[in-house]
Amino acid sequence: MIEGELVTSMPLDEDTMKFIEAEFGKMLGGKVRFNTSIDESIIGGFVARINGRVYDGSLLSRLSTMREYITDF
Amino acid sequence: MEIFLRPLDLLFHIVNVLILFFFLRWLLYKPVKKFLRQRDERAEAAREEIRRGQEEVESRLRHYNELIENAREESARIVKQSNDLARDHAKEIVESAKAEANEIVARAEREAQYTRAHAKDVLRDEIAGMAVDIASKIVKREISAEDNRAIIEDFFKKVG
Repeated sequence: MIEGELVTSMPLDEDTMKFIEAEFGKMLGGKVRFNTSIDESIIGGFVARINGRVYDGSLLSRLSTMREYITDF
Repeated sequence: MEIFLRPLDLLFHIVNVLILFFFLRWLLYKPVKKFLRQRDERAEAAREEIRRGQEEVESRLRHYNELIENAREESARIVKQSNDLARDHAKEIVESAKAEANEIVARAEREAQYTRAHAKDVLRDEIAGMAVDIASKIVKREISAEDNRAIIEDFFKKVG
């Protein structure tokens, strides 16, 4: 069992939660379980911390990338 | 009244005339001749003196003319040299001014270019910030649970 922390912008339904755990399980090769918390500043998506690694799938991260892309264009 | 001249008297007169002639010749001719010769010699000496004087004058005249000519050539050379020097100096000043002007223009262009680029960067950064802020606000307001699920699925599609 791999434990991690999951931050989302809004509460997730059970199906979405299972989907995330299953995807991380496939990725890391084991069953994954998250402690969840809400942070509206990430706007959408999630930020997961597992075994010291951060998986940033938030909309805030995408918008930041978009801002850097526009700035560097 | 008739005058009869006897031959002996005639001879006597002739002899008297001859004696008088030679006496006068001895008495007057040589001093006069000497005086005339001396006068000629003085005149010749004076002419020689005048000739030498004229030659001296002509020589000095030639010398002064040469000096004047040399001075004229020297002054012309100095004037030409001064003109050349002034022209070169003026040329140097003009070239220096041109170089300085070019440098000023180049510096101004560099500064303008830098200012434009900096202003562009600032503007781009502000536009990007504004766009992202607006997008963030809109997305925060509009995002639904379905949208959120789609974002999550999209992450795993990309990672996987």
